Amino acid sequence: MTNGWRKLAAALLGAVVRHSPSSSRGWGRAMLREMECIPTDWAALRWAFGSTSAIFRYSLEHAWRDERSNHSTDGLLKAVGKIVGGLTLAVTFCVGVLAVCILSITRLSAFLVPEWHLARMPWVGCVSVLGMPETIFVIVAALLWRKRKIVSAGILACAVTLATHFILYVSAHG
Amino acid sequence: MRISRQTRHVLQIFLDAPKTWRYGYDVSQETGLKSGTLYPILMRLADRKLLEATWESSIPGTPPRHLYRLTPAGLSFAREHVLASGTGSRRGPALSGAKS
Repeated sequence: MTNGWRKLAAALLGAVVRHSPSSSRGWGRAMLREMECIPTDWAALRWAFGSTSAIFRYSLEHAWRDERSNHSTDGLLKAVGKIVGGLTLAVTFCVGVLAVCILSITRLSAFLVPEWHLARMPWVGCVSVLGMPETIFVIVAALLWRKRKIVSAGILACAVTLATHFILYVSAHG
Repeated sequence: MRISRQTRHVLQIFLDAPKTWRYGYDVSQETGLKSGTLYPILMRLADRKLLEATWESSIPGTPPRHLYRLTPAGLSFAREHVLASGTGSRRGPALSGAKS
């Protein structure tokens, strides 16, 4: 009774069982054994196709379940909280640094050394808005990179955003 | 837990003779379900400890086959879902022309 279709069915299901994850291999072997008891070759081939689909779905379900158990909801929430916290800290730090840089050069210099008239000099704006903050951002990000990677990445992102904004502003307004 | 019509039909087959071990192919024949429908049902029932499976003690010259029957928890589950739904009596294949 063994002909090409049955051989094909056996080869197909055998290959699927061999390459399936261990969680579904036992089930695959069971289906393979049952196939040998099916009287007609076409029915055996249809059984093999159905079994392949069943093994594939079961393997996917197991993989998804394992993935979910590895990354439980608590763990996911903790990770998201860590990222959001780190980025918030980075943005707060950057805004603070930027504010201090602008104020220190324009207001503080006018208060401490009024005869210099720093606020009127055009390059002071560039230094206070871009040069000083960017330098501080890069140094702090480099220092924090090993221990606080998320905060460091947040600071670098702020640095890139500030530089981009500055370039766009200058190119638009001259 | 909601169960499908096919699952209810499989449970009904096992419930007809609760202590009898059954082959997958025989269940497929009795329910009219294809292997691609039947086995996911058996797998889910086994994962939930409602179905137990064993390998047939090998007869020399023939490869062993997988056998299935409901666990005590599976029997209670089946009675609750099959009998309560009013489909306790055998009604033939659930899906016509679905033999494998």
